[in-house]
Amino acid sequence: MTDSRPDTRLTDKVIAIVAEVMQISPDSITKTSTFEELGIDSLGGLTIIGELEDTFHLQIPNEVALQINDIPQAVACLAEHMNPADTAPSPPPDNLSA
Amino acid sequence: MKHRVVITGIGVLSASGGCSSSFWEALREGNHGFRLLESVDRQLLRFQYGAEIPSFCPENHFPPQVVTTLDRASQLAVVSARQAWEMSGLTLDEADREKTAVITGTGTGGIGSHDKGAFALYGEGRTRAHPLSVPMIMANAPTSQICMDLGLKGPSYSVVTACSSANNAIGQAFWLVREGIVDCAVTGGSEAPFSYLHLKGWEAMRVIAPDLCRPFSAERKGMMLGEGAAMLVLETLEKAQQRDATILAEVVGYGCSSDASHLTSPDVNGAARAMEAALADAGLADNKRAVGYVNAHGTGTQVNDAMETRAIRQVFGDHADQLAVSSTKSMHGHALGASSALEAVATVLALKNGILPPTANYTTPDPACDLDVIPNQAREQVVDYAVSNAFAFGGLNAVLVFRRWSDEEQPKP
Repeated sequence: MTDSRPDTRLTDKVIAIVAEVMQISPDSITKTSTFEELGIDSLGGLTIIGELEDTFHLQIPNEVALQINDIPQAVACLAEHMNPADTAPSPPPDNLSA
Repeated sequence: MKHRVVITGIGVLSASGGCSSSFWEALREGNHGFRLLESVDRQLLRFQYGAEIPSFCPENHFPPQVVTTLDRASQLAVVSARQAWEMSGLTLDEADREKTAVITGTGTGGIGSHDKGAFALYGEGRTRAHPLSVPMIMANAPTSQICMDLGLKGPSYSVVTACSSANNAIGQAFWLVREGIVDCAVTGGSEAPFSYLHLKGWEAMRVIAPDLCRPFSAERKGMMLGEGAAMLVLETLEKAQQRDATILAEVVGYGCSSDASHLTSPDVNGAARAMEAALADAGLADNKRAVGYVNAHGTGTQVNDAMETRAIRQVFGDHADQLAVSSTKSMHGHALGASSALEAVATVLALKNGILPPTANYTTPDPACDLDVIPNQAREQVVDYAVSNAFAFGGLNAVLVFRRWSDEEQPKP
């Protein structure tokens, strides 16, 4: 049975984004994976943070973004910077819809 | 036969000054050139400041039919080359023109023209590009434009190694003159990085400081972009002395290396190897104590400044504690491919004037950067040899060694 608690949904979404951005299987990513374990270097980390910002429509300060090195840190950062009710990404603007 | 290579002309366009004298005055006083960016919509950026040249008007330097055919990087290159050429006092006959090289560096070439053209096509829906898009964007345009403007016909090319472009260009020109392949060279770098596309790229890398560039300070928060160009005229010592030219300084060493490790994270061993190679090229491998000043790469990022400190200590050992080190990027900003040309001019003027420019905006010492970084105040100090470092994204490093010139100490031919 799927856990629908907000934190779990957010973690699942982060894992999906990391998998898509870095072109790796989501099955290889756990809720506690570090970027290093996944073979993701600092540039990959910045790419992921940028994608999270776009997806969740928020800005993460540089000094915070540069300290994110694993999935739990990314989830915690998102939870801190987004509206508490907004645990799912917003739909894209109309002009970007497929 | 190897020739000694001297500098007889310098030209500068930067936020810190529109000629070598105003540039030097700003550096000597520790005044930075950072201001609110005007060339892009700041509301679209997360950072607001850069070292943008406040008063450069290309129409004052080029006829109307020419000005629109030059990307800003080429405009800056040509104007600074004219300054350097005029200072050198060189007047060449046709044969000499073919023995004069033009070797310049740029990191991004005509990226402003690229950005503008792309917006016209993708953003505005136009279907026709400017017919000169290709020759305006190409990275060798600054070199080609200098050749055409000054009528120089010797071996000429551009060097593209990101933030070490100009040091590699100057080093290549130095070697060409030293080996007797050419008599003279115009060399340096130019960069016009303030295009929206480029700035958004830097924003995404999260390495731009929000207010000021504070190299080697504990509170440093990153680099600050700058634009500009600087050019030097190099020639053989024989030629300079034959025509009684004013010699500003001597180029004595050039070394370069590749990290072969990471696109953006610098490697201490790669930086150290470039310094070692330059010192060996200068004949100082066993006399490093002769070096009194290092113009550091000193970007103001956490990673670079700590790495560069380790590299300097690795190369100079105990002598690192006697070295004066400063980052003039704290004042003229990081002009990428042109930066090491600005720093070459700063180093030449430091040797010539016996004054070492400071690291401006310095606040608190960082144990990871425990060098004598000349905080905030220029220092009167005569130095015989100076090193200028440049370490680029892509792990390509280039280092130059300069020597103070003294007419009294040199034998006339």
